[in-house]
Amino acid sequence: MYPHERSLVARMQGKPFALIGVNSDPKEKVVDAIKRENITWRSFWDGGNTRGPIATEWQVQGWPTMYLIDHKGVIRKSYVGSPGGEVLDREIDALVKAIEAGK
Amino acid sequence: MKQLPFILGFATTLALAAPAFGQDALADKVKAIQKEYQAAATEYSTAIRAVKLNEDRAAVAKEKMPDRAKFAARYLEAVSGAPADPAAAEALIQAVTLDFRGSTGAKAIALLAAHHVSNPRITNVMTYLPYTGEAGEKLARALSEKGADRDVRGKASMALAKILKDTNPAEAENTLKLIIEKYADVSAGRGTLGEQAQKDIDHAKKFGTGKPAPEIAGQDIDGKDFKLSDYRGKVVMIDFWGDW
Repeated sequence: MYPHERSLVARMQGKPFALIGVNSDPKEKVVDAIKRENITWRSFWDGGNTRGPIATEWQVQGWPTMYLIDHKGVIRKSYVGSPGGEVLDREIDALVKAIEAGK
Repeated sequence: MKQLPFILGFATTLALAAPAFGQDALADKVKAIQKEYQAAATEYSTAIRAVKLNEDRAAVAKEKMPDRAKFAARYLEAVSGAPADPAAAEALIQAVTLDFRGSTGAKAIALLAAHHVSNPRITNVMTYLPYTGEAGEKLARALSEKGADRDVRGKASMALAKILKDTNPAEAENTLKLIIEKYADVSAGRGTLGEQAQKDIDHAKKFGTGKPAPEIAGQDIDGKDFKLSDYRGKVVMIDFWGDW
C-alpha cells in the first residue's frame, strides 16, 4: 500500500485532503517503517499492537481498514481490506470535488 | 483478525485443487493452467524465502511474482468456447481469485452469474464479491436468491450486505436482519452468520456510512497530541495500518 499512499499524498498536496494513519506496530517498528518507506503522513500511535484503544473503540476487524470521512466529518465509505488504489482515488476525488462544488 | 482476501488470494489459489472431471478436454486444459500457476507460485515463494534484505525482496518480487492478471486471462480464454460447461466453473473461479479487482475478474464473475449460480463450489468466490463492483453485486444477488443451498444463500446475503453498506445502508441493514432471520445458524469463520450479522448491525450504528465519525484523540509517533477533528473541513482517509 505504501506506493499508492505516497502518490495519493503527493497528488493531493494543496487540496483539502489528509491521510491519517492509526498504527498498530511497536514503536521501533513504526519508526523504522517511516524512515524506510518515506512516510510523510501523520499517524496516531495505537499502543504497539492491534488491540490498542483506537482499534478497539472502532471495532476494527482486519488490517488495513480504511474510512473515508467527508469535510463535515461524516463517514462516507469504509473498507476492511484495501479496495485498491484506483477505487480509493476515485472516491476521494469525488469527496474533494463535492467541497469545491460547495455541497 | 479476520482473514483478508487480498492477502489470502495466493494461498487460496494453491488450496483449490481441481475436482476430477475425467478425461474432459476443457478440464484438462484448466488443470494444466492450474499446474503451471502453482509451479510459478512455488518458485516465487521459495525465492522470496531465500532473501533477507527488503531491497532484494522487492527485486525478487518484481522478477518472479507470477502475473496473476495474465493467468486469470488464460483461464478466461480457455473457457471462451464453452463458458457453461461444468468444467468452466473451476476456471472462472480461479480467474476471479487471481484478478478480483480487474476487468478479467469482472468478466469471470459475469459468466459465473450467467451459467453457474447453482454450482456449490461457487462459495469460493464469495469473499471477493465486495471488491468487484457491479458484477459482484449482481452475482451476490443471484446467489442470495438462487444459490445451491442455505450455506451459499446465507453467505451470498452477507456479501451483498457488505457491498450495499456504503451505497444503500438501509438495504444493507435489511439484508443483515434477513440473515439473522433465515441463516443465523450457518457457520462462517469462527462463528455463525447470525453472530456476524448482529455485529455488523451494531457496528454500523456508530461507524456506518452516514454517521458522524467519532472523535479520535491520541498521540502521533513523536508523542505529540492531536485529534481527528483537527482536520474538519478536509476529506480524511483514516488508515488503520501496520508494517507487516
